Amino acid sequence: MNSEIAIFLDHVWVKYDHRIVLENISLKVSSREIVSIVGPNGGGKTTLLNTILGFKEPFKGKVSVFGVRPQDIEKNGMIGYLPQTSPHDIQFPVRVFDVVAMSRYGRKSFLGRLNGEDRDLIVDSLKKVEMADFQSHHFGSLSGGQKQRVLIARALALRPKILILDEPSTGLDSVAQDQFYQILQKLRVDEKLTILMVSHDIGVVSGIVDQIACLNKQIHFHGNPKEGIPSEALIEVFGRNVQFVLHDKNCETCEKGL
Amino acid sequence: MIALFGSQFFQNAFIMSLLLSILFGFFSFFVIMRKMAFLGAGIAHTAFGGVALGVLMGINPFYSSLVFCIVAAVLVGKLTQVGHVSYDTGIGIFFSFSMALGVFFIALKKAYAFDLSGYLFGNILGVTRFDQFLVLIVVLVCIPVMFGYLHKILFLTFDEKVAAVSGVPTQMLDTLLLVTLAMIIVISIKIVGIILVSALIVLPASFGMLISKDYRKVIGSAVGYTLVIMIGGLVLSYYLDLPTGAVIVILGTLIYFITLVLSKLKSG
Repeated sequence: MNSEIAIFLDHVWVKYDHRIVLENISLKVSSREIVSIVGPNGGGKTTLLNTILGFKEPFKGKVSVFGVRPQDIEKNGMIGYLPQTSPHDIQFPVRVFDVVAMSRYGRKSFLGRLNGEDRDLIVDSLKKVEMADFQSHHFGSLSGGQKQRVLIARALALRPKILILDEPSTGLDSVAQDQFYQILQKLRVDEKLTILMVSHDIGVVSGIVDQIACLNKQIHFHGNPKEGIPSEALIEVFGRNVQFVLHDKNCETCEKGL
Repeated sequence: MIALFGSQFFQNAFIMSLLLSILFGFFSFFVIMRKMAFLGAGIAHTAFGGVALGVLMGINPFYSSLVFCIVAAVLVGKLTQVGHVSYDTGIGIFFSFSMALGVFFIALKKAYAFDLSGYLFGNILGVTRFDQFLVLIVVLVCIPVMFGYLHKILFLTFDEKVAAVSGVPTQMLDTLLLVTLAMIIVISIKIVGIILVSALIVLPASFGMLISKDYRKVIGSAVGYTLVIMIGGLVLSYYLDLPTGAVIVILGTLIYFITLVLSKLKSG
């Protein structure tokens, strides 16, 4: 595996007003790894992603993505991003093709139009998420899982090096969830992608990721979940809800950690 | 009808309505999809402060209201970015402040016979060649913006955060959208008036959404609809001898509800 560092956070501190939300975070994500950040709601997961994406600046510490400051990322389109909650109005009058085309238009100059290469890339991105047959469907008419896949296609149409996903499986049933994670694993290999995703569901993600970072204001554990997660770290992160996490039937690695 | 088109004031108002329809049809879509319907009413009412300032200072109220509205639109944008308030709150603050300033300025200019109703409800008799020229300039500025940034504004409207990560200059386009909207509203006040101009921001895209689920057709039908209600309203108001702004809005609302009922009958 290529050991190039994709995402690097060096002793990062972030606050909102006077409240510190991220405390001394250091994290390295190597190229082509799948890494998940897990933790309770309000533990700073989305803030961490916002810091990596350049929406939030740390007051202490440094962040870089493939050696570039996050604030400069938007200019080169190396990050494909899928935000936590889908803000889209189901009435929004766009077709699936239009949604994926958005990311191509985002990089066009004033008055720029799609060319043949753009169209091929859009259809190709939809094929990769098994949604090519839905190109002319109204986006609002799709199921939750189908929408997520189209939004992944939109991210892929940027030809990114990193995919950043915030709680991508929220609201999906278990079949749609499995299908979604299978696609992610395939993309990681075929597209040579680095994938960073946030989840509150340690049981689901621990089976498919290379590294897991347990976050609750600080990173309490960072390592391969298959080698076990120390129960002290889980207690630190999930507090009194830890029993629920430890007894998750999907989370074999949690038991090993005990 | 020939006599009607022969009159200079009607020709002026007709050409102005024609040009404005394109702009309202287009921008209405983005205002509705961004759930900023209150923005139209807000900016229009902000214009009142500008009109009153113009009257007080003895300058053309068009200039002062244009400056007032553009500054307010930019400040509302900044307030939402810096102050963590919603558009509605930001607009609410400026809207009431500007109305209060308007009343204050008019009170200072005690001796002036101020045609308030002309500004509040519109007066097509007041449309001059100069107004037409101004509309033409605004159209010439806005149309390239519309076509040049259509897809980027669409992305920004659909998903602002992802648009920002994907290379769309979201803050610049946000400000551009607000400033353009402010310009269109100010130049329309002569025809429909401060009180009723917000209808032209809300109705066209609401109508378009009944027609199609493809944004191109939604925008196209919104433009067509605005053309019909503005020109139809102008002609009807002339023959019925009623205020043009009111006739445009009543006609527009009726067409909207009839289409709504028809579309429900068709789908149900």
